[in-house]
Amino acid sequence: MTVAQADSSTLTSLAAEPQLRRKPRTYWSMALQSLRRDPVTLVAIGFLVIMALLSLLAPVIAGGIGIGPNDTNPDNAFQQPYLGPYIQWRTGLDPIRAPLMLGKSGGVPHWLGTDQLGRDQFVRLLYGGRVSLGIAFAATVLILILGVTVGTVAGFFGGVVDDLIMWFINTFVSIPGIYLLIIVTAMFKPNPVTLTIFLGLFGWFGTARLIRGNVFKVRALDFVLAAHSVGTRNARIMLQHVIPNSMPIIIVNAAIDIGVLILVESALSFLGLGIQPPTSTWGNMLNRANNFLFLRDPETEAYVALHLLVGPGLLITMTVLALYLIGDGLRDALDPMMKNIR
Amino acid sequence: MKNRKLSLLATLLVAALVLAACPQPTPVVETVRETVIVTQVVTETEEVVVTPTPAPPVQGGVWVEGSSADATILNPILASDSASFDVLGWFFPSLLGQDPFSGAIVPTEMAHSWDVSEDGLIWTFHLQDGVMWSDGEQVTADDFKFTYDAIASDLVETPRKANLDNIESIEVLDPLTIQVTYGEVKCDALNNLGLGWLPSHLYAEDYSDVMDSPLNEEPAVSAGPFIFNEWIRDDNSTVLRNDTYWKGAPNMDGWIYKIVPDPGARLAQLQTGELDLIGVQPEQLTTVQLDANLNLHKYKDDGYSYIGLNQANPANPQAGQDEDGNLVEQDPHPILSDLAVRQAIAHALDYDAIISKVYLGQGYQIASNVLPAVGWAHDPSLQPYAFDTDMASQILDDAGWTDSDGDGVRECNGCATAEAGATLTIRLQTNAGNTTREDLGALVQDQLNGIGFDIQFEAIEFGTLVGELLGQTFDMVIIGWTGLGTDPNDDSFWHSKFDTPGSGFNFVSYQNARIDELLEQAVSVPGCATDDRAPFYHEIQKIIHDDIPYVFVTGSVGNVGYSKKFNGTNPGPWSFYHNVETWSLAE
Repeated sequence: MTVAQADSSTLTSLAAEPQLRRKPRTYWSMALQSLRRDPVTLVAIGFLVIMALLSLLAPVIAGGIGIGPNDTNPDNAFQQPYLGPYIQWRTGLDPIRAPLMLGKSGGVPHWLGTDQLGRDQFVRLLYGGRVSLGIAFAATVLILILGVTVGTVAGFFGGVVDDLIMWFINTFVSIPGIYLLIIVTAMFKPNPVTLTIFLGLFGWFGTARLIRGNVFKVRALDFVLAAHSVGTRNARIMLQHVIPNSMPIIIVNAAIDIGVLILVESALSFLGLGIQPPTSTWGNMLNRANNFLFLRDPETEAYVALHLLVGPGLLITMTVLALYLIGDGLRDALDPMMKNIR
Repeated sequence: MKNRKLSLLATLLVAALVLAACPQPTPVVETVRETVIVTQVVTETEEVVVTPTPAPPVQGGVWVEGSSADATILNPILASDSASFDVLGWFFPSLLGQDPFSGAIVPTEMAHSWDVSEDGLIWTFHLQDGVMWSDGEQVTADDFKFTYDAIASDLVETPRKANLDNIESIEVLDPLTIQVTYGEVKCDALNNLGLGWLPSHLYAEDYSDVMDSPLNEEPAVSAGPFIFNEWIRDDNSTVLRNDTYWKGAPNMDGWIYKIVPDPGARLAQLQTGELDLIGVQPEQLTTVQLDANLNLHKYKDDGYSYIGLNQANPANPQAGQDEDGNLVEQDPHPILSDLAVRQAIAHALDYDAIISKVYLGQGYQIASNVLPAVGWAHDPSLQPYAFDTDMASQILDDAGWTDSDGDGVRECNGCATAEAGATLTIRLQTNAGNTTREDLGALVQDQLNGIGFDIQFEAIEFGTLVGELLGQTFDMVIIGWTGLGTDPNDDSFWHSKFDTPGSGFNFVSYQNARIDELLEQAVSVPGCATDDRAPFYHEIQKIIHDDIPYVFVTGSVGNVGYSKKFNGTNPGPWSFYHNVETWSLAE
């Protein structure tokens, strides 16, 4: 009660305090502010951006190092990563090993070592990232287009339309997705384009269901009723009111989907049904490295191929983890309810 | 201690002298190549396997073989899987022996000699006298005739019916003499007479119980080194020493066939001594080599990997012969029909690197189509193509394949087979999922592109690949043959009558009238003596080597790890146990 009764001069001086003077906050600026206070998500986004940039710049980087992704050198197979010896050389700990390795590789620094054919692991990982990330992003766009459209239509119209669509979706979801992919990849030779299309075509069911549920909720809200009552056409209501109100779900879902698709692409490659060598992807690099897990140097008895397993394995794990973290962070940031609880 | 060493040395020397004096089959052993830098001379040294036989041999001991699969039936004419033969091979006598090192047919089993008629069609086999079944009955020619008549009987369903193809009659002249009459001479069919004999005195005369006799599960009698004891399905089979074995009773008490499905578990049990013999996977080799209690037997197997080069135009597959057996002139492949291109490919590949890096050392370079495992037919004087990129480039330059526009890919500028200006672009395919072949493809692509080829490499699904192969619509393919067996006849790969789009194995459309003639002559030598057949195969190898319908990449290698607990083991590529009766427990 005392606040309400405070005199106006106090109120004016309070308003002049810079901390208390606020701009009007929109939904998106609030989300952005929430994200800024979430270091984990920021690190994840940073990692993903760096990975995407490195993959995009793969030809430039490979050109700088001076080696292509399919350049073989069998005499220098299974070379261990140059990075460690390089650091030891620069810090003066071991002045011999790094130059020796460089001599063996013909002057090319193999930062992450070489594979069984003497191909540069770092460059192949970059090129593999182009394919793995590229397929996952592109297929996600396809999934969103299909899933959001179908989900919105089903949820918005309800009734028979919804029944038919849900019947169709439920039928397809009950077939294990990996089986469908195995069948089609056996029939069509998998290349990045066909694989993207297949992953998109078989991946949108979950998204559509999720959107449909949300649209059910949104279409019963007052502003949609108001729009209906003034005679706005359905398409306009969907585009202007329903879909924007599903945006948080769509964005969060997309981040998680990309992660899942990277895993699916890896799994298919691991089964030998994904993109075929010599094109590298993280999945088929991991698959090939798996065969060399127990390969040892007969003289030193040291395992020689572990670095081939670590590279793609770590990149897949970290990228997928980053995408999940981003999805989680975005959900927190974009959900008004969650913000109030904070 | 010193004395023992001395006596061992003496025994070794004596054994070596004895071995050197006797004519021995040359064991297929690893040849060690070391380059002496000072003289620049490559010396090849050959290991001689010396088997010291301490006297008197220690009695007792059991040998346990580990296997992934169990036997299915212990009847030599009904079984068709190798696990069944591993077990039943101990019990049943057979007509013909096989040299464990060369695979040649030798008179070491029931037939101690044979005569062949002038025309090569009538074979008279003279049998060992005094060979007894373990129940006291004598093994005679009647057992042989019973076995082959059973195969022919309508009451018996067996995959061995084809063994009787081309056999007109089998007659018992007396209990120790068999006469086999052929319709025509086919030397590669002689192995068909090598099946194990059934004990005819235990089966019904009309063959009515061959299919369901209890003997198929528990063979009661044996004429081999061991007698059946027990078979627990999917667990183990045990056999015991046959004291009446005609080559001499084994020193060991018995042999066990133990089923261990997991390869890792097999290796672990070999190391702990629970198993004495396993097949070793390539990634397990180091472990076996580093174990002081184990031997590794690495042998040259009966398979090879190659790059098939389509000699005919893949856009226009044609049969090699018309209906009357006349050669049909093929529409030549625009690039690969040029011998210079094939020679350049053969010289451009770094075989040593391929074998050591792609095949992880599990292979050896071969020069042509007959493998060293078939020792009598293999021509060791033929040299494989040497890795020499300068020579390969020179051959292409000379043949009119040059890079005139400087884009790194050669074009036809006066070449023999393609249109002027056509680039040296060739598809290379293999089956997806075979990582070794995928690696080989990536390496071949890079090495050929290095001298101006434009190789389009792709790994495709196996069924699709086989379709392209048999349909003859491919350019170059990486693939292999396995299980070629002990006979060198491989006419289905080269003879023009097997160039039939859609089904024939001469899918590279290789056509050479002289090869057709040689392949036919080599299997129709009367008497089928290896010395008479060998010259034909030597000439065949030379021609195939020079014509390069295949680029031979590597011969395949088998690995067996076994314990050192018995003395006297002397494994060959075709048999591990051929001298099992002489093994004795090491002290």
